[in-house]
Amino acid sequence: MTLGSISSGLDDPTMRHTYAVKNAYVWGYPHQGRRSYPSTLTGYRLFTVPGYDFEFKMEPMIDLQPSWLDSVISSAARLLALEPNWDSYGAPPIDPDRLFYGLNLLTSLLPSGTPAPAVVPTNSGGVQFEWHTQGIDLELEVIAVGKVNLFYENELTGETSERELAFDLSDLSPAISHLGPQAL
Amino acid sequence: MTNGAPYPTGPHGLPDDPEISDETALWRRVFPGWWITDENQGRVRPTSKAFQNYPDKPCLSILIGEMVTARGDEPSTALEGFDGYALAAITAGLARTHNQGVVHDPNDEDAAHGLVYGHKTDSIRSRLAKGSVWVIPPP
Repeated sequence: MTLGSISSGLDDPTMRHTYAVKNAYVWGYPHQGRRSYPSTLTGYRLFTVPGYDFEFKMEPMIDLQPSWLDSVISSAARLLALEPNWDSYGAPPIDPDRLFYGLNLLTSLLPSGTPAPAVVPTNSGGVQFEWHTQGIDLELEVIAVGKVNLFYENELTGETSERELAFDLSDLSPAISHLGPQAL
Repeated sequence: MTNGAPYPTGPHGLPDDPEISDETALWRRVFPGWWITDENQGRVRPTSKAFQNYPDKPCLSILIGEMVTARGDEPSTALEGFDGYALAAITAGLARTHNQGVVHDPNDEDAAHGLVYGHKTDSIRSRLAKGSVWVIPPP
């Protein structure tokens, strides 16, 4: 399935965010009351959160959809509905660009059997993905498009890592591998 | 510290009031998306992001618990107007252990308002979150 096979809804000129990554495409766009998009195409997913301003579509370019997909997308959709001062301490709304970058990062890096992360808004308008399992604490904060902050701590080995990564995200893979499918 | 007087400086060079004891509970409102399941601790706890400084200030806001209760208010008053939120607490001692300073900073919203000063690395935020307890747990 390619971008061209998606029907008219995705040609909507109001669509604002499109990113292509290794395994999937993710779209988000202002809602504007239209709900005419197809939801039953093979390999094509529609995520809608009633009353929220955004909808999501993810079209994996492979048949197998990651096990964490539904959970993460549902959580992400809720973040885009947050209004100013959502944390009660003056936080701004979540930046869609950073959120979509993070979603695409996950589809690119996470194997299907990886446990679903918690999807957490940050008070600077960003998003953080977290795992706390198997003796591992792993937090990935999208601080800007193309820039991720990594916090990794392994209680069992004492290994810790805390650093900012920009574009070269290869350092994430070892940390993520410790969460692997066996953690399910 | 009140009436515009400068905050006292603590041992780390940060604002820190020695009149606030290490045992003092510092309350922090926790947004409904800011609690996570920590399988390592076997509990639901605040995310480290609940203990992040303001984007533009080197501190975060708290309420000094004993000041709230001393005036006869219940902890639930800290959540008035914030349906669905929870209330977490760390001790001033825990904050100081991680090179933070604690000061009383009354404002128009609450006379028990305070600040936890200091740079908070990911590791420090994580330690604060893991060391927190629920005053009012998530609903």
